[in-house]
Amino acid sequence: MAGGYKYFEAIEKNAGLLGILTAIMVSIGGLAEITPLFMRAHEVKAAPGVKPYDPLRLAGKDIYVREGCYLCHTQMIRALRAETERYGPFSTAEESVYDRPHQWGSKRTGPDLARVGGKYSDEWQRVHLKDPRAVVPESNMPGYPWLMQALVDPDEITQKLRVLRLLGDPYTDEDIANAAAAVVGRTEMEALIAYLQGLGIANEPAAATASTAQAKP
Amino acid sequence: MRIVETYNDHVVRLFLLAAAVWGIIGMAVGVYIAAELAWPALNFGIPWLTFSRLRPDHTFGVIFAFGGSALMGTCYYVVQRTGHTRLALGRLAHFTFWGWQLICVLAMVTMPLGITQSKEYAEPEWLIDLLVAVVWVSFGVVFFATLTRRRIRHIYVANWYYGAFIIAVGLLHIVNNLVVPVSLWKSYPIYSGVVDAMVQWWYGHNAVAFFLTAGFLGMMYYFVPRQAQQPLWSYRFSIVNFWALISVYMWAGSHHLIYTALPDWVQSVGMAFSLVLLMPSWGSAANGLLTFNGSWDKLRTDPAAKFMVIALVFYAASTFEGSMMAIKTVNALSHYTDWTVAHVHSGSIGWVAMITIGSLYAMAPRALGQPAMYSTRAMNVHFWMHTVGLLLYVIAMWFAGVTEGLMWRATEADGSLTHSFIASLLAAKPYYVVRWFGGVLVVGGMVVMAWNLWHTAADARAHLIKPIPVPIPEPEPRQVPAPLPALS
Amino acid sequence: MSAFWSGWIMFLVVLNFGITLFLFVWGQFVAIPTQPDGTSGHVWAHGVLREGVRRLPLWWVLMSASVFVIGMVYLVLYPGFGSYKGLIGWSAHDQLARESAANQAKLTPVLQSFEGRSVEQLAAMPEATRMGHRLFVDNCAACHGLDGRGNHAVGAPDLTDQDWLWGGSSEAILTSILDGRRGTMPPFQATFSNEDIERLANYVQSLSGPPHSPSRAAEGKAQFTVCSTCHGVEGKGNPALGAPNLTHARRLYGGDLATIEQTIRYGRSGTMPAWRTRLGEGDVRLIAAWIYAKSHGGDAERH
Repeated sequence: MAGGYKYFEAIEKNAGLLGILTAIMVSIGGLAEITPLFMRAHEVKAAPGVKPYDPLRLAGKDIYVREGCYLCHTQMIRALRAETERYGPFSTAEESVYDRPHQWGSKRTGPDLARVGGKYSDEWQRVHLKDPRAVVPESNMPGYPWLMQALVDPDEITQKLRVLRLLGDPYTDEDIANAAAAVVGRTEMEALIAYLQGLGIANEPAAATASTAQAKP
Repeated sequence: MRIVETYNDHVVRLFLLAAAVWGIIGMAVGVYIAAELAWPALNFGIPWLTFSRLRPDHTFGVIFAFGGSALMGTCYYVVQRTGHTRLALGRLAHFTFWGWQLICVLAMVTMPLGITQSKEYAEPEWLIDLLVAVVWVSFGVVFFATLTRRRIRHIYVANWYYGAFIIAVGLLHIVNNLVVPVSLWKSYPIYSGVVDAMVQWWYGHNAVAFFLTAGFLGMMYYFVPRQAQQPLWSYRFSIVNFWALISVYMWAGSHHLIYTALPDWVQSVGMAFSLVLLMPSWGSAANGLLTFNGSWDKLRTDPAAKFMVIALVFYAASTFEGSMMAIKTVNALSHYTDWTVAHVHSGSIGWVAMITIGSLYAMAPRALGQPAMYSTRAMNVHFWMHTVGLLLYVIAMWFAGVTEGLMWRATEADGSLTHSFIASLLAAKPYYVVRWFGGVLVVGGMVVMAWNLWHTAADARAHLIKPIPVPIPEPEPRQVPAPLPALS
Repeated sequence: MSAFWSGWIMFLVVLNFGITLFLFVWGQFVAIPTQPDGTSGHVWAHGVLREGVRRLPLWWVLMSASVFVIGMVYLVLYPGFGSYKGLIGWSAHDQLARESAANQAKLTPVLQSFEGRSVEQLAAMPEATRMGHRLFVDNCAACHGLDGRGNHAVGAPDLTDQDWLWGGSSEAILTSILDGRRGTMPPFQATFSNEDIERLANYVQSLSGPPHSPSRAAEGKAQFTVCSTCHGVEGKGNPALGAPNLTHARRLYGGDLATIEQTIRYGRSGTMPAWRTRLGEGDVRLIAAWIYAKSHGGDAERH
């Protein structure tokens, strides 16, 4: 009934044509979904008053990445009622503009951490990261005792800030010059705790933090 | 007459060996980390033995090391048979083997040391990514060069899928891994926040689509008709499903980010296309399953066919489940829970591993110069261990995931939340033990397969194998096919 | 979203939907040359591989048609087609606002019934302590334990007994949660010799009774005057400073001699975070009620 088979037959007899058409067909979805976001990414700005990660927290974030925390903890409170009631206001795009790569996660074996900053004391974080079951006997989180001894590398942090500035994060010359001094002698545990204690606090402007309380039922 | 041309099965055998070894390693790591979730003390305070450091080794090990080796090996096998030609660029083909194995070893060693980009299924750092790009392009060159020297003009559907798999994975890999290095072992992506999340899940979902689906559909399209000894059910299906599947899949990634900070429009588009995806997915599953029409009796005698049939059933089941989980209201319940883990494993242990195992059992005797696998009984044992392990795993994680999702949102009549978070973890823990045991059965089956392959490869180990000649001249394009040969 | 990008998205959505729909319809009817045996006549792999040219099954046609319809209707109703907002004007944030409001409507009367009641009264209301318990487990149990019995590792006090660091009145409990507490004991390794510290530790143990050396304890009594500034002459503590009562057997950081020596030598610093901004006063009062009920032998445990 319908014609046109000969065109398909032609494609199926020509490896080059088959390859090129395949490449075009697999590109459509990404062109539609990614390019608009990428080209308009500059429109998503950090909230006023929010600065990129200071050196210690940046070091902490990279430890979070290195240890693979994102495999069990999300940092993305979805716009769902039960979720905002449990974890606080839903996460916004502005909050993760300095996250390279993003740490939204995909699995909650443990609770969401998007607003964990300030929830527990530094001491609790230290004890818990070293041996989670010392404070939460029911937990199945592994311990990370080696973070207690390891020191943050001051040389690398300077280079990290330079690369991030290259990518567009607003670090000043002064920030970069002072970066090494800010982390020298600090343990990885301190850095990671500094990062965690800033989550949901340091990436939100002061006004937003205050409105957190109002949004709660 | 010309010098007799033979198939290059040497590189195929190498990939076959690698697939068996990586399969056991990747799945064994999975069993170990599953045990850690049930008994967390098992990391013994050792950094590289910790769950969060080892999980990328499990995913990379099974997807890229096991799946990748199986795909490249079968791809080389299939493209030669369906083109009646020897593999082009033999040295480059061997380079792709050794290059891929080097990549796998480097990735599997560096990731537990904490050298990771933290992008799921794309954890290896930039140096390894560069190497992947080089080997992948070489793989594509070998494949397309072989296609161009084929002696049968019409390209068989299996090769369409292998080709799409190569092209799309190359594209995904490069776009997702655009980074600026800080040092040899650390880099930052050029994307941040929302864009990074979208790029990551466009990659992540299509790693499933093209590595774990298109590639394995290529495998299915060759080995299922071969094993069923029937013509492929319908060529119409092949055409419709192929073009629909490769384009529609690429939209679906945003369904991993439903109700997140990603703009609503991307979420909706992702969901709509995820539903449409059901058409080529079930079309492909049907095309494979219906090919067995008329030879269902093979299920009684041929364990390889059994693996293939169950694989196709799980392909249909998990793609249906996937489309349903892309619906916003379902996703609101399932996301972040172990339901996702159940879904992934019904696809990977059910579809990917079983079609691979079935194909390996079909291919290995031929590539190893034997009439059949060494032990049919061992194949049956493997089949039952794998199937029971799969069911235990998937059912346990379904229960765990649905329990978690329901507990997280359960609300009392007075409007307050019912459960604490820790209560959901305590509820899931028993299922973690069952899941671990399911995994043990699956790995046990893989060991049985390795034993069987080792004995089947006796001649290969003794260098007694005679290369198989390519049938030249080209068969007449409209020839009446020779009667189907017996399985052996 | 600019008009250009909106048009870009619309074009690509239509393009891909269109191609797929075309394949779906065309694939069913296209004339494909077919051999008498029903195959396409293409042969591969030594003549083993052939392909049939069968009609596509009806169930699949119906299923595919319905997913097309559902997908398109979805993009008509919901935002997704470029900057088009969808017929029903849905957005995730609106949905959240609606659901939160609906839930709030259920919650508000209950919360209103709690208003103006004291913590003691709330402690007697099962609906209040149930809510308080869930909040306690999600927010407080990380330090104080699921059952509220505290934890030596972080010096989190037992909340179920009658021994209160900062006072056990409902007001004091509320203040502790709302504004947090910071309890600091200075290090005494510069003040006391190692022997003194050992004697002192024995004396501290003698106040509550666990195993110790009475003679050493007697020797330590003299040094205890330094400690009495905060812990009181009898060692009964001082709720104004959060100085623990040492005559109670349960110790904040553990009750063995070595731990006590360590406390004296290096001091302690315990932090209870403030919850006012995170949880708000309403939630905190519910938590306080559960704690109050629990510590007064209330029936809060069954939740």
